[in-house]
Amino acid sequence: MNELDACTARVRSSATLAELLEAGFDAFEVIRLVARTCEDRAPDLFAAFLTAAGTAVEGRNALNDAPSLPPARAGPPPAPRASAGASADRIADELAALAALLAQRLAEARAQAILAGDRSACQHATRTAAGIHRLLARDTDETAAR
Amino acid sequence: MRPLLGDFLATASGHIGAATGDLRVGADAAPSVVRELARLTAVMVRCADAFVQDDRGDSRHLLDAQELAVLDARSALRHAHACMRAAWGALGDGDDEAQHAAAACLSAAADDLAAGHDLLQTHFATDQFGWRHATSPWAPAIASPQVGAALITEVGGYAGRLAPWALQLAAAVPDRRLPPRARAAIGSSCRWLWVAEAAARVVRHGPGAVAGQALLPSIPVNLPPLRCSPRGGEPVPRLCAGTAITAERLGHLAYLTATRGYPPRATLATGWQRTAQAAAITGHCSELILRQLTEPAARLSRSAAADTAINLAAQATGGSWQAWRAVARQWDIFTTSPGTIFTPVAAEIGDLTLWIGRLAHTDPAWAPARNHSSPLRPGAAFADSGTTISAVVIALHHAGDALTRIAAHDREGVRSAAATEDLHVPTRLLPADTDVPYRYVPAPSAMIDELLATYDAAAEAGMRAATTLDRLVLTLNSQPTALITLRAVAPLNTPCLPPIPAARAAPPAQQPRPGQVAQALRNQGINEPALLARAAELDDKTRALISTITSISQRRAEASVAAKHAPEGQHPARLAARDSSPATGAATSLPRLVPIGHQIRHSTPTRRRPNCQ
Repeated sequence: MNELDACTARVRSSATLAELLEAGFDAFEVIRLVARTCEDRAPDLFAAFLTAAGTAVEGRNALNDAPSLPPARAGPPPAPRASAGASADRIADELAALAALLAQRLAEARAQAILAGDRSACQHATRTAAGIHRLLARDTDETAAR
Repeated sequence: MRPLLGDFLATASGHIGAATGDLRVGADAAPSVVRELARLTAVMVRCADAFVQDDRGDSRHLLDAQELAVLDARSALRHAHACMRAAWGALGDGDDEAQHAAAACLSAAADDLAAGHDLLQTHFATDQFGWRHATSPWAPAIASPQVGAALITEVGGYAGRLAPWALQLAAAVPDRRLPPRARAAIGSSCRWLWVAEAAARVVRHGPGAVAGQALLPSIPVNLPPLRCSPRGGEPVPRLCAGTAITAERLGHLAYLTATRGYPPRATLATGWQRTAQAAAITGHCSELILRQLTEPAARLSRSAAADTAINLAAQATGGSWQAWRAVARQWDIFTTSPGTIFTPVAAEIGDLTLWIGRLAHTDPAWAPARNHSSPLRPGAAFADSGTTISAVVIALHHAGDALTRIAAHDREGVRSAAATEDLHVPTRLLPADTDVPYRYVPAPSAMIDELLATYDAAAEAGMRAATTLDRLVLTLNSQPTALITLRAVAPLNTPCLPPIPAARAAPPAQQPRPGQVAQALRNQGINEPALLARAAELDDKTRALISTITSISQRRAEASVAAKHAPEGQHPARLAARDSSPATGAATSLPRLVPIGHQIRHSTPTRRRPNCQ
């Protein structure tokens, strides 16, 4: 899952609010696309992946309303594909980790944001990222992704 | 527990039984008994006439035996009441205020029957012109010919019990307590009651009457069941009951939202997506349960026909949840304005997912999260848990029916949002070479058409699944459930009933005043009860006609005024269309949701599809 690694690296290394918002938007989109691909891989994870994809849409749309999000995207929209060989469990682990990182970075950004619109968008997106982590983590530590 | 019509009918029947069981009513009781009989027959007429959509009494079309019998029964009841009213009028001013036992029983019966009638009326709201519009999923059933026939049958049964008793009473009371005119009127009334009973007997044996009779006592007052969320650890019977209650509540909430409009500041797109994904998960779990029921261990003592029906239901349910998943995926790319609250269905549909999910899985705290994934409940465990397979299937049937209704209502909501340009697409999801300096663009019409087609597919697949579950329930049970009967008699429409016939509805608190025709007869010295009854009927019809004409005139005048004051660009035909259809009215009452802080470009720059699965 190179796309997931790249996405994780972008979220981690974003230096400014605008960069983080853009990376966050793409990260939610990656989570949505990968989760959609994995819905049918394991029947016992169907509900978790389906709900995670919908929650990622909420987070992505929340960040789209942030005033500091650059109006035009720098590159092409993400188009990740979950590799055929990867197990649903492993993909869920990776998505949960990305969601936890996203929740942590967005919570930090919210604390430093100046504009009310940015704070509100980050708060909503933090909540949804934490929700995705809760949905996909193997054993959820309720305090880990707040 | 919500009050049911059956509760009131049973009590009314009991009171009539108590009254008519007393054959030694004293002569001094006659006035109060006649008064209460007049009141009871008035309520019986009100019940028989209340939900008639099209009074075809003077239709030029040929009516079948059932329709004729319904008309005869209603007409006979009206005559019976008019005669009893005339009898009470003939008793003079010396009213007996004493409450005798039989009179008290008749009074209580009238009260219960009136309460039952009012319970049925709670499913309709009256507009300013008196027309009644459906406000609950039960309304189409109440307005159906089958339930109408069942109501006539019930009331006709009361008539058949009252007639001989009242006649016996009239014969036993001396002349000084019961003037000959009153005695003759009571006799006429009883004859009409017998006619009503005979006609009701024909109605009872007509096609569809059994379905109506099965449904009649189950009709609840127009209130959704109280919210019932799972707490964890519920046994299988409780999970089945919780599923059925929650499904009925959701169907009710969906209906209310569709008829009253969405709450202002509702997060529509998110709500619709949540609803679709919850419906998909619910359907997925339903299919898993049905597949588990086909396990060899769960198949003991079941017929091959039942196994086939279970397999067909599982297959159809699979098609239904996949259609719902397609809807959920469609919502990945659309958005509406941000809001602060969910629609009632979106806020509560998670309960249904939890009920069905916990029925399907062994984890008593199952939730749609990875850390709650657990093995499926074995098919044999359903039978071992103190419940029957039939109860499990009935619970799934309720869920399937609710999801079908929700699909139809949400589809209309989405269509309304599209019509008012409230559906948008984030520009960032468009291909990279799209040069649009705005965050959102209005959703292209081709994408909206695709979204609506996906809803259509979900509604059709849901209907197929619910139909196979109908058959499965009928295979497992000898008697149809209330839901099967409801689905059979009530299509997914919203009936609109004419105003309640006036004048007859009011109980005779004072001696009735004759109308113009009745007065003309009296002026001629004609006191024959049958003729007076006919005259009273003509007077009633005349009043109803004048009332209708007045309503139409008022409506036209208001439409004319509205057209004059309509802002430029608001075509009168549009106003008329909005005025004529309740569904359209509800749709146009939706608030226009403009995303706060959104920059929306109102011309579509590209028809290229954004990046979505």
